Amino acid sequence: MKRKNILSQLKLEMEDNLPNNVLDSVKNVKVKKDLTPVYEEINSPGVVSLKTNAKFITGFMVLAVLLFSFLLIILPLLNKVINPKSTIVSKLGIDINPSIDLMLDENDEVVLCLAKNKHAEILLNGENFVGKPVGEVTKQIITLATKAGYITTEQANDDIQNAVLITAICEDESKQENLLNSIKNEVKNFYMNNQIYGVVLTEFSSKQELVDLVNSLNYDLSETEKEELKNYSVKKLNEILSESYTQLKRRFRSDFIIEELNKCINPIYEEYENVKNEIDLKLKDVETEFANFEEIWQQDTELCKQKIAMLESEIAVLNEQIEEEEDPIMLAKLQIELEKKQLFLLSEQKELSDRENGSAMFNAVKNDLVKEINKFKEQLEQKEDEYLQKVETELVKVKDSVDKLDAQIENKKDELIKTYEVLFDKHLNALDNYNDFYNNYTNWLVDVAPKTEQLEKDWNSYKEKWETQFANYINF
Amino acid sequence: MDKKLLDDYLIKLKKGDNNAFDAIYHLTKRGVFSLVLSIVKNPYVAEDIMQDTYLKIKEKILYYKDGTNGYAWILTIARNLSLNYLNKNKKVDVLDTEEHEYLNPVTDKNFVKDDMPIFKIAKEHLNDFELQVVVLYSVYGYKHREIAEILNKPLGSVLWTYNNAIKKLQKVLKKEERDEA
Repeated sequence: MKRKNILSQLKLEMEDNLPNNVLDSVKNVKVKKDLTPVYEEINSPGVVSLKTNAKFITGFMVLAVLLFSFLLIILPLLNKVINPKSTIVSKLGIDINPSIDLMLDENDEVVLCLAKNKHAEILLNGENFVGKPVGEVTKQIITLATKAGYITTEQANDDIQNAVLITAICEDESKQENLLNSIKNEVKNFYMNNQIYGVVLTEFSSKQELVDLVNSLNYDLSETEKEELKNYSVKKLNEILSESYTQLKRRFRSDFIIEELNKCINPIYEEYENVKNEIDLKLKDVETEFANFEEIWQQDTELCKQKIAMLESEIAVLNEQIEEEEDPIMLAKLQIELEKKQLFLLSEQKELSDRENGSAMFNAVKNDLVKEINKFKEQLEQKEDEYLQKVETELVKVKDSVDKLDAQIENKKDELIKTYEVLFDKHLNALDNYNDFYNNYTNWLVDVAPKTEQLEKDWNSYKEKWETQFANYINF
Repeated sequence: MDKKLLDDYLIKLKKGDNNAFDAIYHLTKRGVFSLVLSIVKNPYVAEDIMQDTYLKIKEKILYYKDGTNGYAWILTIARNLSLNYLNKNKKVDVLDTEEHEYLNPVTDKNFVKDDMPIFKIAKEHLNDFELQVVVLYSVYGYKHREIAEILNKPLGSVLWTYNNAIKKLQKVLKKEERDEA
């Protein structure tokens, strides 16, 4: 029996045995709707019910308690070994022309190193400062900057040559000052040892700057979240900052591209595989049929012969019955039956003669099978072409999204640099304004001094005059 | 198979439209029956579990997430109820065979109606998974991918199992035809 026939027969059996009264019995039953998750309520055999085994639960609980106590002791020890990454507690900014931010842990060791402009990216290319003490890292950065020509060893022409600006943000203000001083000394010592003439500037940064920086990196933050940032501690802000920067870097790397490709192409590939498998199965069926074609042909021819023999015997029986039959109605029925059988016999005889005499039919059926095989093969090729076309379209899309992301990151970087420049300018402007105010005030004081003196003199003379007049009046 | 249509009806039922239940039943009855029958292998038991399945659908309709695969949701309910039945029946079987000598068609696992010769052969010669795959593919016209989703198996296993099962059936039927001749 052919595959198709087995399946259709099975379908027929199922259809015949499909219950008729289920809908009627269920339709009018009132059921209380509930929201208990259906998968939780039904116990599949793969799910072991813990409730049914009290011994198991007791054993499990004892084990759990033991394991928990073990973990309590071991975990803190393991954490140091397995996860050496410490929490960021302070940030140190080194600004030469390359601008670099160092995120530090409580031991002043570098946890993360951020290059804030292109010069810094080039300068730090291939360097890994993580886990090293901040003093050593600063020295390395200054050495690199010297080698790269940002700091010169030539005689200084003015005070601001080789200037390094160091900024620090820390929760604890005294620690912040200590950190700044120690770094300042490190740089100064380096300058002295290498006979470099330069100046080290230190500056306390405001918390608002950090908030702005976090804001600029997390451009998908809502207004409320942005407001909340102000209430976070410096430590928390530093953590968010390092996390956002890492994310930005990760997305920038090829991981993003691979992820995107998987997301777009996997479903297409799966769909193609399914279609391909289905066509393959059909193709195999037809090919098997084609391989056994001659055997089946012979079997069918034999079947045809058997049918003819059977029909001939049936016709002989019918002829006998007609001869004996006297009832005209029955006779008419038998004659109709006889005619039908004779027609069947004729068609079977024709098919047999075709099969035995001519190869035309044999070839025609065989050709049909070949055509069907070719049709499936063509379908396979067509599906493959479609799949490749779709993949190509998706690749273009992925490339677009990567380009878009690149542009976004570039914009953010520019924005970041701009923000820092503006903030720095603002700081310098504020200092200038204060100096202007002070100078103006002093000048005004100088201008106003003779007038005040004159006023005092006038007042004294008036007072004297009045006192004299008053004395004269009393004496009078 | 119109998933969108079934999803629409499930949403309507969720909103309290009881007429949608008839449509859901007619859209899914073949799939539910064939899956349940391929697991419990007894048409009488399958009928009972089919009833339970539709009652469960009514009861749990609020839990259906709009826009998800309604067929898979319904068939998972049917499958779990069938497996529950088999689990419970394992214990009952032991008692039954000890206390009763005769076998009741409703509780007899080996009972098959006379008008289901192919199913009988399939039941005897295929394992549970093979039977489920063949029935779901032939009766309900599920794609192999969908069967893999419903039975929670890899697509490759479903394709392989289906091919093997059909070959087994062909072999057995050929042998029977030869014996009869």
